[in-house]
Amino acid sequence: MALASGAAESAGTLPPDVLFRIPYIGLEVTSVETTTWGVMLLVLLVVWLGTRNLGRVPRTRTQALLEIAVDGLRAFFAPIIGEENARAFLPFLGSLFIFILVSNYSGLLPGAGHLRGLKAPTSNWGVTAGLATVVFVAVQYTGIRRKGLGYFKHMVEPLYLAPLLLPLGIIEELVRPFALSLRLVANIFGGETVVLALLMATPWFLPIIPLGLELIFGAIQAFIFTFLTAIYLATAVAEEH
Amino acid sequence: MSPMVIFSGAAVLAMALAAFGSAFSQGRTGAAAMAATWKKPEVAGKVRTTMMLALVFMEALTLFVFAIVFVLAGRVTAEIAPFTAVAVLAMAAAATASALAQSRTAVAAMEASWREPEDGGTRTSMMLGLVFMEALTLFVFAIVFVLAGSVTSSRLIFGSAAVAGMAVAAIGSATAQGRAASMAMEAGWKQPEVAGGVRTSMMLGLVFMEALTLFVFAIVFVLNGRATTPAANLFGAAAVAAMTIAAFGSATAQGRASAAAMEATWRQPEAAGAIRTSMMLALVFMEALTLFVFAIVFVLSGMIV
Repeated sequence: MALASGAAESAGTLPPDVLFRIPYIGLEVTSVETTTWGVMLLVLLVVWLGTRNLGRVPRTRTQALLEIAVDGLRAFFAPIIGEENARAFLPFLGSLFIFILVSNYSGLLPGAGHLRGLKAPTSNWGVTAGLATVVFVAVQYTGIRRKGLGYFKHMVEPLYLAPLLLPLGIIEELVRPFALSLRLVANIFGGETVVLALLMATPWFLPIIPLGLELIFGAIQAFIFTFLTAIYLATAVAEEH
Repeated sequence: MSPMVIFSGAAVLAMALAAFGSAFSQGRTGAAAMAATWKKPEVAGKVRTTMMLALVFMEALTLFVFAIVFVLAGRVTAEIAPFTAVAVLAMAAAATASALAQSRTAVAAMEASWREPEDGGTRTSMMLGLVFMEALTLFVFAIVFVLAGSVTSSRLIFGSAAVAGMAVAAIGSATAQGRAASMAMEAGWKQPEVAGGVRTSMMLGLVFMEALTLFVFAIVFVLNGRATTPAANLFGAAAVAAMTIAAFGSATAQGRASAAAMEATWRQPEAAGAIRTSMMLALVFMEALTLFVFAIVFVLSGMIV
């Protein structure tokens, strides 16, 4: 504690959660940002290692692993949103899934959340709200590009109910990113605090159960986020039913 | 009375309530697993794994209450003692409701696993359902954790109302989710060919019911930033209570509609697509009702000084 406050004082007027300030542009860097970049670099590194020497039959273990991941993701989304959609949206959905999964798991590293520079990005509403905003824009963009103005038809059908349905449709579109981001952050933040509290209470044995559950939670929350994104995208491009 | 007495009394009661809820739920789940094992001995191994998973989820709920008791024990002072007492009891109530809803789902999953032993998706569906119900108690935990750092004697009424309200909302959402998820398990074995579609519908339904508790979560955060005056403190309490009532009603209604959609799907598998579209439309209506309350609370809270 004394160490942390001493460091903050010597750096001038930094708020407690800010690690350092980027000179000239004055951008404040927090533990969430450093971990986000760490996660991105890790994912990029693994993908670069796996794809730099591609062969028809995997030559490296990393390539084999990545192929299993890509095939698995496609096989998972195909029955939910259809083979064609799964193929079209896989780069987006897969990137979301992998980033959120690794981010969630970064919160399980020892000391995450109270070591300076290490904090699960998805335990910050700013990060999940950013992801949900990307999803919102992607859904609207994809819908309008595929169907033009016909995309807005699903909000006003049947026509005699349009005055009631249009506001509801707009509210629902806006609530989606809100609920999507809140669900992820509340789950990861809640899980993190439970583990932290139990670690403080009894460092031995007891935290094993919530830690194990966090492994399941981290994967399932990444899955739910991408699953809902997939459904929203598929609904946006769906032909008339 | 010393503040520690108020907190400790509430804490032991809370631990007991949570333990009772978890034990009761585990008993139901275990019994259903035994029944599945004698009805179809060849699935014994699978059923045991499913049972163990479900039991871990229910066990953890009592651990969450244990964790919050520990967190608050270090922060009890004379001025916030009533808040800490309400908070631990609220956590226990939420944990109990989550456990009961989980056991309802797990019991239905056990039946599905002996009636339709070939279907490997039952356990996945059950796990998904249990995660949703577990998350509700986690949300209450997170709110208590956050408020414990900001509640003072001038915010006591708001803080206590907020944690109690979150618990009631979580109870409503959990109960509704249990209803919908258990019906999804039943639909899965009664009409195995639509099991995948039923799971998707189930998740979409659970997401809506979870969102209602998340709206209460969000309004507590908003009001916490604004509850700086005595008037805002009182208004905050009333506002959380209002949101809670709305969320509870919407969640109950959504649980009913979703369960009916699951039942309709196994009774008429050909109409699965149409049923899901109707269900989603109905759920949006019920969600909007709570959002109207959210909007009015949000606007009015900015006017209270």
